[in-house]
Amino acid sequence: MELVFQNFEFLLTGAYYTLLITVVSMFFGLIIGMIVAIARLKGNWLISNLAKVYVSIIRGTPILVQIFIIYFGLPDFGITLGPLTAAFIALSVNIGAYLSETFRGAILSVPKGQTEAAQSLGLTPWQTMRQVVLPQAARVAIPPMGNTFVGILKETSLVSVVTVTELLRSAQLLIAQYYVAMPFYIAIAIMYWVMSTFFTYILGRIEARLSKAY
Amino acid sequence: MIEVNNLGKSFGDLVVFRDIHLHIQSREIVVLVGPSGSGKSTLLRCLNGLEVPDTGSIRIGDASWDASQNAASKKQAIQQIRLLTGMVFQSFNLFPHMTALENVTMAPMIVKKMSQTQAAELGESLLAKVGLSQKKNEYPSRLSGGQQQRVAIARALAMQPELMLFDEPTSALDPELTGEVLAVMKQLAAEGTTMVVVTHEMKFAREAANRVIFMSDGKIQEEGTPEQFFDQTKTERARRFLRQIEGDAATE
Ligand SMILES: Nc1ncnc2c1ncn2[C@@H]1O[C@H](COP(=O)(O)OP(=O)(O)O)[C@@H](O)[C@H]1O
Ligand SMILES: [Mg+2]
Repeated sequence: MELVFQNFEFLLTGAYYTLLITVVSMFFGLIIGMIVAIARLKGNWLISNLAKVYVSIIRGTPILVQIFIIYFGLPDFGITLGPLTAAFIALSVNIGAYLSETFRGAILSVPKGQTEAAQSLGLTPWQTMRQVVLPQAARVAIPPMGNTFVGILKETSLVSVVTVTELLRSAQLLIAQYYVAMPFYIAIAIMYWVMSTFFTYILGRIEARLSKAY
Repeated sequence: MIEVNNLGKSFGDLVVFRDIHLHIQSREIVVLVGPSGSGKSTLLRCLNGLEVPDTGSIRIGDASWDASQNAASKKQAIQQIRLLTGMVFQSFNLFPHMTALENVTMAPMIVKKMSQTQAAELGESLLAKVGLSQKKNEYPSRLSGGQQQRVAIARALAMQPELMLFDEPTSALDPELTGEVLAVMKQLAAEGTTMVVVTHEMKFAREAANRVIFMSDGKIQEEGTPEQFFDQTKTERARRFLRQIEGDAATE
């Protein structure tokens, strides 16, 4: 235990990277997910099928393989990325695919009458999306989005394999140095758990806010 | 003021109607009746740009749509038509994430770029008109069906349309709630709002309509003043329809 406290700052730095990777990937994943969902729903045949293939590939392959392709595979094509950048890209692309499915389902769950009412008032398709469909879809999408978010917080541990010193790798480095494992693993388990619980709580609050009309 | 000529609409092989001619004067109240599936909703939806007809033309105020126009002019015409017509749906279709007032002020602010204060003033006066001032901050889920439909009427009026379309506005309501909605519609009629109303409320048709149109089998079968239509019904098809409606009303 002593060792954990002595190296707490180092572990906190690891936790900071875990959070950073989670938040950045979630941010870009949201944008990708939104664009891909709209591409699938409103795009022409080609665009909608491209989006479909993207989602299918990402969902049908392990995230670890995706991370390896981006970090170890892309240099073969002359694209060399730092470990952190590779982690951001791999996770954003991964989250984007999952969230696009969430968003697509949420958008489809808004009744057709809502779109018709907006159109009959003279709103353009984009205004209808922005004012009427998306706010209602958001409410449906928040709970599964929260699950994705907490899931990704834990999956960031996978990018330790490409030498990003996030929380798991911080612990592994300390273990290699001191030859004791358990206290460090317990410590980071607690830190993961605290972060997950915190985000679950925040998302619960957002959900409650969005539901106040219902 | 509203001129519909040769209008036709099919869904795949199903011909909903063809060769519809309909001229409506400003301030006229037209009640459209007919058996279920006769194309009343589809006709109304064509007048609101929610459904695109296959043939014919629609002219509402300055907007004119014609089946022979190119795609771009059609799109523009449909957008204009939507601005000139207000639609009230059977199922209200209020926006559940907005309060009653927000439901009314959203379109003027987004589409007409009206300022928030101006829109709120307009919204409050319209909610007052439909008797719901004290409910302005309620969400639709907290309102009864009749109240929701009155908010929906205020919402459509907020865009100051030249023509109001009502598609069975009271059919989804419990019988004791239809009166409050019909009262608002009668008030609009008395103020000179041009309206086309699809309804099974024959009493409303008799009292408020200037003209009753009977549609069946994809055609306008007969039309006339309420007195002509109800008391000197011309076609056997319409007589049968009226007997049926009366039968339904008697069994309720
Ligand atoms: N979007 C649609 N696709 C296919 N058929 C439709 C559609 N809308 C309406 N119809 C059909 O068109 C006919 C007329 O429907 P509608 O206009 O709703 O009649 P009404 O309002 O008089 O009951 C019906 O047979 C209905 O099933
Ligand atoms: Mg109908």
